[in-house]
Amino acid sequence: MFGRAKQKSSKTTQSATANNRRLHSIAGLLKERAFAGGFDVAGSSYKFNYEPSRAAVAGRRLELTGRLTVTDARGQARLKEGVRATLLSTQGGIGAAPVRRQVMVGGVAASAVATSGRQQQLAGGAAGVETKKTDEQSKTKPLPEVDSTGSLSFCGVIYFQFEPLDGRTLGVAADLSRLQLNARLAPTDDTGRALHGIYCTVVDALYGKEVNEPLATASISELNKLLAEK
Amino acid sequence: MAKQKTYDAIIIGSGASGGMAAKELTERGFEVLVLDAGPPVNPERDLSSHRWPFESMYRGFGPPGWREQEQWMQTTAGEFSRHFYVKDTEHPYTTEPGKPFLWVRARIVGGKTLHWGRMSYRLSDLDFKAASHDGFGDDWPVSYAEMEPYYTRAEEFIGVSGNRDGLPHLPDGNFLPPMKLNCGEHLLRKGAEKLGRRGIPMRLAMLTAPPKPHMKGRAQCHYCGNCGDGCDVGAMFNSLSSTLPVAQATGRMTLKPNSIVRHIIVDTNTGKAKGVAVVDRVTHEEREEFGKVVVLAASTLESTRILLNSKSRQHPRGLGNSSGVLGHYLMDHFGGIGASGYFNILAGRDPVNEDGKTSGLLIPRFRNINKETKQARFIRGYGFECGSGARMFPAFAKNPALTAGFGSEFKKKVRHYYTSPVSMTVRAEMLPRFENYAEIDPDGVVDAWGIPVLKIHIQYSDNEREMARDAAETSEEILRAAGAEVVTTGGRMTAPGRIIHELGTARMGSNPKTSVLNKFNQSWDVKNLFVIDGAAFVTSANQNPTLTILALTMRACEYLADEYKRGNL
Repeated sequence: MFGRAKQKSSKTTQSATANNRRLHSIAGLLKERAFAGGFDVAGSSYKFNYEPSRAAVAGRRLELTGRLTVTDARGQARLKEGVRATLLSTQGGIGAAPVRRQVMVGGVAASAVATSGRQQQLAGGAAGVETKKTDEQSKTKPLPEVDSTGSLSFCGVIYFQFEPLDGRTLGVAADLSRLQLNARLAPTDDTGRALHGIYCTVVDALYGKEVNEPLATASISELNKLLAEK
Repeated sequence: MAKQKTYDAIIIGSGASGGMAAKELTERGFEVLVLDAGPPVNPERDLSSHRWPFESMYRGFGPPGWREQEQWMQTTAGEFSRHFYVKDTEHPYTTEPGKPFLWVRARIVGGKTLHWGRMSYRLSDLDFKAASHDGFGDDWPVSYAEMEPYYTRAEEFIGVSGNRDGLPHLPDGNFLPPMKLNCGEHLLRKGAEKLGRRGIPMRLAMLTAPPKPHMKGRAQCHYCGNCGDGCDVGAMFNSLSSTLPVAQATGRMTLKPNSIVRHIIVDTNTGKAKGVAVVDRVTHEEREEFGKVVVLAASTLESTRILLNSKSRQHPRGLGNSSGVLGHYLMDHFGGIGASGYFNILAGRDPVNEDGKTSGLLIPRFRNINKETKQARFIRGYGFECGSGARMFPAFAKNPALTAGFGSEFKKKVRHYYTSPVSMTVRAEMLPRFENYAEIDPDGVVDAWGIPVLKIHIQYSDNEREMARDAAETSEEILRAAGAEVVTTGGRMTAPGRIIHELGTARMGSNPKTSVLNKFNQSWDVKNLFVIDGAAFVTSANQNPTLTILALTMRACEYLADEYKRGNL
C-alpha cells in the first residue's frame, strides 16, 4: 500500500556518490570518558570513539581536545590525536537529572549560584498575565513544578562541531570537513554519570542567556580533573 | 531531456492534514504530489495492534537501551511502534538551558495518525473568540458558525463516536454511538456531578458502528485496546485507511515517500512558490519537484522549519514572514497534574470487555466559561482525561508506590486491583505568547541530511502554573467525591511538547502585520502557499486539536480550489 513512486523523472541537482558525499553528523553515546557510536557511508559501516583529554573555553564556548578513532568493518582502526570539538548547542533532557558534583566558586558551592535559565524558573516563569498575589493565595499550596525544567533541568544531548577532518586519514570515503557530533548523555557507568553532571554545569554556565564566568572557570577545571582521572 | 512535470499542487506531509488535503484536492480534479519525509508503510509488517508482547523476546519493552540511545524523546513509542517515530540520533533540535521541549515526531507515510490519541472535539466561540472574552491575545479570524459545516463534514468522513451532551462550549456533532463508560467511570462521573461538573464519554475517531459506504476497507472497532501500535483494521481514523486511499482511487495522487523537503523554491520574478528542493532520506540524492501551489502539512514545527529555511532575496527572514511572527506563539497543552487511586468496591471482580477499551471519561472545561465560573488567578481553562479499569501493563502495577512487592504476592495484588484503578489527568490551555518561539538554530546545528534544525524557546507562564495548581485541587476533590481511595495527587506539569499538541508558529489572523496566514490558511505574502497543520492555530484552547486541523484543511482546500479556478493563485 502506497509504495514508493518511481522518481526517475526527478531532476538530480547534485551528485551524491560515495566519494564526495558529505557526512553531516555522527551520533555517539557518552561511555566512560569517551563518546562512542557508529555510522554508515555508502553501505560501509564504521565505529568511532572520541575521547577528550582536555577541556577549555574558546570564544565563550566549550572546546574539547582529544583522540578520534575510526574503525572500519574489517576492524582496522585509524586515529587522529588532538582533534578539537566545539560545543555548538544543546538539547534539554527529559526525566531524572544526573547528580551533580559540587563545584566551588569563590568558596561557595555552585548550587547556590543560579544561572539565568534557572533564575527564570525560580522567579515563577516568564512575564505574562500578572496574577494578583492575595493573602488567600499565599496560604495555598506552592505553584507546581514543571518536569525537567529550571531547577530540575539537565542536558540530554550536546552537539559538537569537529575541526575539519580529512576522511582519507581516517579511512572514510566521505567529506568530513564539517562533521557534527551528536553526543547523547545517558551514561550507565559512574565515570559517565559524573561527567554528565559536569557537562550540564558547564552548559548552564556558558550557554544560558548570560555567561557565568566564575562558574564556567570552576566547572571547566572540574571537567579537566575528571577527564584526566584514570 | 524531458521537461519535468509540474503538479497542480505539492502537499508536504501525509498525516492528518496532508492526507485530508490529498483527498480534498484530488476529488476536485487536482493532480497532486504528496511528499513524505519517511518510509512507506507495509501494513502486514508495520501495523502491530494484534501482536502480543509474549511474541517478542523483549516482551513489548524492546531491546535494552533502545529508547535512551536512539529515541529518547519519542516517549509514546513502544517496541511494536517505534518504527513510526524518528530516531533522535538523526533528527536533532536544540533548546535553551533550563527550558526543555519534548518533541515527538513521526516521519512515515500517515504521520502521527498511525498512533494518535483519536480524541476529537470541536472548538467553540469560547475558544475562537477567547481574546474577546478575557482580553488576552487575539481572536481567531474565523468563528464557530464559519467552522461548523467543516467540523460536520470532517466528523462524517472520519467517523467520531460520542454522545450529544448539549454543552455550548463543547459543541455536539453527528456522532457514532459512544463507547460505554465502565463502572469506575460511572462512579467518577457521579462524583463530578456532585460538585456541579459534567462527565461525558470521550469523543473518539473510532468506528463504533458498521462503516458507512465511503469508509471502504475500514472495520468496526472490536476493543482490542492496542491503537498505538497501528490499527490494522482501520477502526481508528488514520491517513492510511481513510484519506489516502480515497485520493489514490482518483488516480490523481502521486505519493513519494522518503522525500525530505529542504526548502521551498521561489520564482525570483514573481516571488511565488514554484516547487520544493528535496533530499532523498535513503540515498541522500538531491532533486527538485515543481507545483503550481505548495501546501505545507509537515506538522506544526516542521512546516515552520521549512518556511524558515526557505530564505531568499524576496523573503530574507523566511518564506511568508514579512510580519516577523513566523516561529512565534508556540504552544502545547500541559498535563501531568491530576489525581489517581482505587475504587475499592470494584476490586477483585472479573474484568469485562469495557475494562480494556482505549476510551474513558472526559470532564470538560468548567473554569472561565461564564461569569459564575470566572477565576481571579488565571484565564482560560482545562479539562480532565479520566479512566478507570486497566489495560496491558497497567500503570499501577509498574509503580511500586501503588503496588509494592514482588513474586506471587505482587501478581495477586495486580489481579485484585486490575478492575479498580481510577485516574484523572489535566489537559489545559497554554496561552499564545510571542516569547515562546522556534528559530533556525543560530549555532549551525544540522540534521543527518545537513538541513538546519530548530532551536526551540518555550516556557510556561504563571497563568499555566496557576491553572495547574487549581487542577491539582479540583481533581482531588472530584476523586474524593466519587468515593475513591486517593493515592496520588498533584504532580508535576509536563515539560512543553509532552502532550504532542504543539501548535502555533505560523498563525492565522486578520492582520498581515501580526499573522502569517489569512483566514483560509493562505500565506499573506505568497498567494500560492498554504499551511494547513497545527502551525496555523491562534490559540491552543484545551481541546485536542486534530479535528480542528481536519476541518480547517477542508475549508482551506475548498478556498484553494476556488481561487485556483479563478486564476488567483
